[in-house]
Amino acid sequence: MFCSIKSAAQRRFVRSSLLSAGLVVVLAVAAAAAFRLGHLKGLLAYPVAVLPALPIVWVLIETGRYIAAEKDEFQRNLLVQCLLVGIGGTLATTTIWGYMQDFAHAPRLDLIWIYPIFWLFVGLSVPVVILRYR
Amino acid sequence: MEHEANSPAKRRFTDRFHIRVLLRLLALALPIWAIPQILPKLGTAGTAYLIASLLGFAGLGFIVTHGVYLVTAKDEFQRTVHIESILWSIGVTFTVTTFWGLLETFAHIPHLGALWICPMFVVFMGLAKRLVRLRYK
Repeated sequence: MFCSIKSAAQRRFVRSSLLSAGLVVVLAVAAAAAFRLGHLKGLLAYPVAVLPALPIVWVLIETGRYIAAEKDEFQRNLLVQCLLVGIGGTLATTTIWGYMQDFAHAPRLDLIWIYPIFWLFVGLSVPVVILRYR
Repeated sequence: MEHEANSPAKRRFTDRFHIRVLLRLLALALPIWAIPQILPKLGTAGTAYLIASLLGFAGLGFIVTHGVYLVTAKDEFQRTVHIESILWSIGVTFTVTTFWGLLETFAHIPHLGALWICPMFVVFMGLAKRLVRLRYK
């Protein structure tokens, strides 16, 4: 889907996704360093802790903007289908893991992994969804 | 709204939704009652994982129900409202989980179990559906 970027909306979406991925890494390292070296506590700890979430929120907003701006109905439909598979896979995984965690004492699933799990499912679904239309 | 209620796809979706809610309630109530009694007798961690994961498969009903609805719904408008609600809910759910996850990691707030993600998503989707419908009124 993304190998042949044609529309301006798609270009903008890919560019902001890549930029935000870089920003997440930078801000996560900065936050971790601030907590390790600065021993942050109290009210200051909260805004610093959520800093790496801001680029993630930005990508979510950009995804919505891309879906609204994309004029190619087919491309938009492909992305929507991939997102639906992504959320389905994520909810199935978290539900199964949640039961295993609560009743079989499986290791704790940290919530920061939910968002990467979602995009992993979206990524896996892309070739399958495209194959459906070949 | 009347038109929506009369749609066969919507009726099928509602039926499946009720069955799924019933299954989820059973899936939640059954292990709370049964697992503490059964697991000590079974003894192996593998069996515990198997039972717990089988119960979790009730959550797969979400994908099936919504997938079937989106494929079979003939009313393009209702389909669009449904998809938009899901997309809004995806955005809000992942914003909440990411913020909470980071606060858990760095600021040591209480852990939110993975079991809460699905109910959270459904609540946000319900709210989003109302707002999306309002937009089109």
